[in-house]
Amino acid sequence: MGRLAGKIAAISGENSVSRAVAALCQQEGASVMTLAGGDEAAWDSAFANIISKHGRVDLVVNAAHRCMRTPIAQQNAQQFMSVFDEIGETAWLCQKYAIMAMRRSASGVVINVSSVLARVAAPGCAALCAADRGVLMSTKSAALECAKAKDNIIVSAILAGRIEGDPAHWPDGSLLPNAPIVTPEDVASGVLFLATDGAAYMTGVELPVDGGFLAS
Amino acid sequence: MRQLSDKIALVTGGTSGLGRATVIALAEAGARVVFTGRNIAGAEETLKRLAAKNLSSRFIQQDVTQEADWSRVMADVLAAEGRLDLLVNNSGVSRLKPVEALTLEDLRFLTSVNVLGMFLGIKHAFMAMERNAGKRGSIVNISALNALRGSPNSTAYAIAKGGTTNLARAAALEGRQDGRAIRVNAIHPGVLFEEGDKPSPGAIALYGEEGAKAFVRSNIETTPMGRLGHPRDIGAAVVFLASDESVQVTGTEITVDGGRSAGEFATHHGVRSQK
Repeated sequence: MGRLAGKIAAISGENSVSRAVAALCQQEGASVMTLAGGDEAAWDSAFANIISKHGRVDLVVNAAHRCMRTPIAQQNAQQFMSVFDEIGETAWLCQKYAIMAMRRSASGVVINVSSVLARVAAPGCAALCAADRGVLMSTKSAALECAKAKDNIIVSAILAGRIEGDPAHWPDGSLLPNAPIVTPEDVASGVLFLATDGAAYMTGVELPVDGGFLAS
Repeated sequence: MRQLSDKIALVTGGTSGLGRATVIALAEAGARVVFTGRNIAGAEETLKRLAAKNLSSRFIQQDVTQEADWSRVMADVLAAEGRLDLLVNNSGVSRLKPVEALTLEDLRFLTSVNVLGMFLGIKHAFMAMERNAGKRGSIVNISALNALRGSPNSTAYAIAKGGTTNLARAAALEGRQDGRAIRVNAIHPGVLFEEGDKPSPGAIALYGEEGAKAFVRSNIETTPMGRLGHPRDIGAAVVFLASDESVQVTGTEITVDGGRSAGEFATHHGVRSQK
């Protein structure tokens, strides 16, 4: 029997990581739904649809991501905000409506997929680093709110390493070329660990899946 | 198939608390587990609890600070099991005292078990794991939140656990060199209590009966999840790090602390040592 048997999972993003997470959740027995966000009303109705169909949502994985690599001097505010919004605002909205939906059943797990750029900066990555760090700290803040409200909702983050061949998650191979290459499936395994019942005493944590990149 | 079928694991300090819970969690996940420690009565209790679950293990007496003991234990494991896939460096000690009350002997005791013991474990595990297919292996150092953050009465403990965690990071980088695929990680538990919320003898010695109860209460209040951890809460993290699902997780810390380190680091400011 799968480790997510009977669970209702919803996954945001259209990229290699969201696909790998969806495939693994399905393999472990969860019913998997795709979250297509948008403005606040769109997120609200996305979760309302899941609740009306399944009565609850147990696992929400926010894997939406986008990369841009441009030196600050050549960036305009609009470009900065486009990356910051797509990563940070999407994570915030996904998390907000996930928590509201989970409070109805007083349980759930929210996992945000950030990256090692939340901890290590690189040239040309001002927007990306700020957004990934923003997702991480917003994860921790939400985790503390949920823990203190005693509503049995866990919120944690994965810091994905260098994923090759998916510009939504890593701009290109020339960024931090010494970083070990990890696969979307490696990231999905980390998500599965944080989503299982055995990890219930973990919240507000960051789990790097980076082949040891952050150790040096 | 269970997560750790066919894995050979060695756990130090499997004779009490977190180590015992780790031995049980690994055996439940299908691993063949050998555990070590100094306390024979504690070892018998671990074996008894395994037997109650129809599980088994084997105990070898060991002082982790003695290199000769590591040579003997590894030779025994390799002869009996053929190889080693996982080492859990769990043996650890703590002495909570104000800095002016700590002695050099306290410091040397804490660093010899928490740092030297784990260093020797990593060294001997590397030598064993290099002989595995693909030079694969996984090593887990049980550390503490004190590795990264400070709290009162723990200056010696902070040195020791800081060493435990940074040792794992440095070893992780070597674990990727020369064709090796040996992963080394630390686990940072929060405040764990095995028997309900009963204060430990160490806390009573430091704070007195009433103070120790206040210490426990303040630890509960300062844990965002509102409860202390149990040693078994660490089991899933050890099983994950032992399994092939974490092949790209190395050189990091897995924090299992009920949210304690996500925000303001909650120290027990309200409780003063009697010493």
